[in-house]
Amino acid sequence: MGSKIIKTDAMQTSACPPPTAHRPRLSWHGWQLALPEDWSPVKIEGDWNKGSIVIADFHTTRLLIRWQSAPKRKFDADAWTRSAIAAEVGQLMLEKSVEHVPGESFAAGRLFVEPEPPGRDVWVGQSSVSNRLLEVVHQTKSVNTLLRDQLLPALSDQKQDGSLHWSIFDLSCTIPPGWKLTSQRLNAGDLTLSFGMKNRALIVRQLAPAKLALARQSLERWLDAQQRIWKKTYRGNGKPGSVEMPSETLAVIGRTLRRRRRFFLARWMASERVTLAAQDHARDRLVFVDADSSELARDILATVGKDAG
Amino acid sequence: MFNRRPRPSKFTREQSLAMKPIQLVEAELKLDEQGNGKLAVPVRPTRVARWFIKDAKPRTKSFELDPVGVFVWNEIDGKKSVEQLIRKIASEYNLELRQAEASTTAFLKTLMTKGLIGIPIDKESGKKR
Repeated sequence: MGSKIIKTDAMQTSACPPPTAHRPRLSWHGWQLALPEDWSPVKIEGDWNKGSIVIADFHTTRLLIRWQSAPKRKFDADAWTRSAIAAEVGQLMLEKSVEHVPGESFAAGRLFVEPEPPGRDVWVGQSSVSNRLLEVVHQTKSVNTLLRDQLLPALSDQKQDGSLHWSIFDLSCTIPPGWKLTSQRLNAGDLTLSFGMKNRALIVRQLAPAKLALARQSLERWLDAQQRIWKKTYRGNGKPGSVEMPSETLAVIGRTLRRRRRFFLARWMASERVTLAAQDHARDRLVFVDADSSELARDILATVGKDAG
Repeated sequence: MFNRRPRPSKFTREQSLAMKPIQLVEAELKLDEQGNGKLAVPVRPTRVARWFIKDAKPRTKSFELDPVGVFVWNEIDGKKSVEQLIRKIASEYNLELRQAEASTTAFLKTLMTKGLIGIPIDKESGKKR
């Protein structure tokens, strides 16, 4: 790949704090990152080509991740990393930055560690997987090696034309190639990711905790509510039936909706919509997968809650 | 005139999380089988009502709480801070801290607007404890 990892003396001597038992994983638009405990995203913007994520702990903002597509012609990665560092911390501090490529996912990178905290540790780099440019800014109050020794080694990128793993808060799933995130609704206890591919639509939703959701109404009623958005164009097909899944912890029911006859000319619409509703006993979650084919819904449901690691 | 911006909070996030809410009413909490609770709060009749009806019976106003609401209500004792409440809910219901925070703070605000809980104020410093 032509990438090389350059280690400085400071990197070799620094003591890496022990990893915490539970490290929430963030996977968003291809970027994968293991976060320290208590850190979670508070602001998400953009799409695959350009976007940003702000991550905070319980008290304050800790991390900013910003990405954009690299220009296709005449792009000098080294010059860009230098200018990005200078834009973030100033021209005077640029000389204190070092070349640093954290893994095989990246072709180039430059790291600046704040010598006199409080301040910002900054890493900028170019992904060799998706050819995107990434900036990671870590707000630090004291001298620590969190960015260099914990965050960057766990940072990776995924190919856009392959299966993409998504993970936000405690909702995670793997989506087949070609699907793009169209919208997200991240309410407390109710997380929804909507994907689209041309005229096709795919929805993954998770409710937590399942016990409370089921105390409010039964799983069948939740399934009805989930399918209500298709009521205008699709008609129901009786009561939901149980669906067998290889997992023992999942109790799954599902129902198929058929396209209404008056929309017979609307060939761009899928002829049916399949919604699977599952109660995950192991995680105490309700999961809904809404797709235009039974196989797709089952495949995605099997990946929900599984960490791609 | 009508498009007034909301006033910024006087308290920082850390101060808000350190506040220790207390229950302001001596209410009776009745639980059903599903864990939902009914909070019966005694209501004092208004001055006009007392003038018209001399022997007015003591009335109660009831608030229905779901199991999480019952859990929070029982934890509010004036000793635990908002942050401690959030952490306790997150561990009890296996939620992420941010998710627990959003629902807990919204619930506490509702309780405050209904006059069921309050935040003690330190008279000397004027700061909320």
